[in-house]
Amino acid sequence: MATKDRPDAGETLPAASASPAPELPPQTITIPVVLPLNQHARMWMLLSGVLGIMLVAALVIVGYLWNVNGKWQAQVTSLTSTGYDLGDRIAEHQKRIDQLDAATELLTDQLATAKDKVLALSNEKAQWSDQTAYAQQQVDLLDSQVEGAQAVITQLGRCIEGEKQLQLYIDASTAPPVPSPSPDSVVYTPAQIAEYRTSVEKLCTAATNATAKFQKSITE
Amino acid sequence: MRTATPTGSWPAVAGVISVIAATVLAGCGILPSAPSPAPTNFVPTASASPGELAGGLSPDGFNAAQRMTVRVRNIGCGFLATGSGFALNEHTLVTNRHVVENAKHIEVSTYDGRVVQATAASTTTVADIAIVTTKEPLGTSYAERADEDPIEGDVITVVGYPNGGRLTTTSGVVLGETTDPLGGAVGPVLASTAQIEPGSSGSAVFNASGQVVGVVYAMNQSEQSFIVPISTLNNLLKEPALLVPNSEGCNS
Repeated sequence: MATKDRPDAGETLPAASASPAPELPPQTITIPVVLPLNQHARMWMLLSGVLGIMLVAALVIVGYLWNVNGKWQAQVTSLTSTGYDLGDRIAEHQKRIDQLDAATELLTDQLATAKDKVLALSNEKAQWSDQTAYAQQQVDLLDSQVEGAQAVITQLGRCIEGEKQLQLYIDASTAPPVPSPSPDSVVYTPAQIAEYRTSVEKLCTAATNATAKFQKSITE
Repeated sequence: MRTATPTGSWPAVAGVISVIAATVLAGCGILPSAPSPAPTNFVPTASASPGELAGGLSPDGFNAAQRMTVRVRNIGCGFLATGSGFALNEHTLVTNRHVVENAKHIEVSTYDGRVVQATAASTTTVADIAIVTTKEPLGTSYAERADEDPIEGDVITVVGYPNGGRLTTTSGVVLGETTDPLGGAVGPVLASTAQIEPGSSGSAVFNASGQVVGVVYAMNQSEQSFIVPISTLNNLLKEPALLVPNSEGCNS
């Protein structure tokens, strides 16, 4: 309703004064005026529309989140179950690892002992081989000494035989003549005996030198 | 009198709707998505077996350095001497010249007690080095020679048969280059703190990577050991003319 104090609510018309008329009390006539929606109303409508859209969007989002939440919860449940299962398996494997660690430690000790034994036996074998090689050297040395001794003995024997034979020749040359000598008896001349003596002396000198050399070799 | 002009507010309305629509779309972007299907197999791919890894167990528990190290027995004319050496390949080993000097016969013992007969030995006057060949194979582990000599402060490991006894491993530090205290080597030699004994001569010297970086050949009263550097050995192996056959048999 328009009123006078409202600038846009119409105007109050004054009474007609063309003909006298009984004085009537002044009457106020209100003329309805159809005005366009003002700006506030439009703003409220717009706001309502926007809020409606936002409400719909919010509902959509809530529905989406509800769905996502359900899926996440399902997966969390599944993963929790899987986690417990894996935990059990890990515990089982850890127990197995502990057992294997203990076995490994034992085997490591055994391996160390075996290695030590291998090295000890190898060393023992090497020492025995050294002793064998040394003994072989001694055997070779003794062999050479025996050979040298045999050579000396041979030379000394030939010297002794020569001396004996020389003595026989000397005895034969100084003995009185026999009336009928045997065919085998031979009497050498003094020159022949002297030559034989010289050869025997050389033989004995060589034997003496060999003896000295041998004695020197066995004392080194 | 004023009249409303509804058409004038439509741009504002459109703007508001656009903002709301953009906000909703942006909000949809940050909404959590549904979970992807959970994996059905949680068992990882099997890793390499321990035997394939570096430093894995050897077939018999002995490391490569121990397996390649040999004990050299010099059966000479009226004497017996022992030394150490290491396999270069299946039929060749390295030791010291003085270990095989005046040898009538040379025998080689491996870490596991096998005895291998040497067929020939070559020596050089450049350094106290000898190369010995064998008829039977020495084993399955051979020396990996380094390209560079060790330097002062490097940690080294010596594997050999000190005093002709058990296979022994000792460690030390390189003290640096020096001249040959025996006066026989042409080039410089290395001094180290690794404690050795008679019988360790010919032992391989290993660096931290397990490569051969030298050959032990002498020691002094201060318990310092002297090493033929690997560069000398590498040069000798590149120049076979520097190696001459070792004279066998007894001179006297």
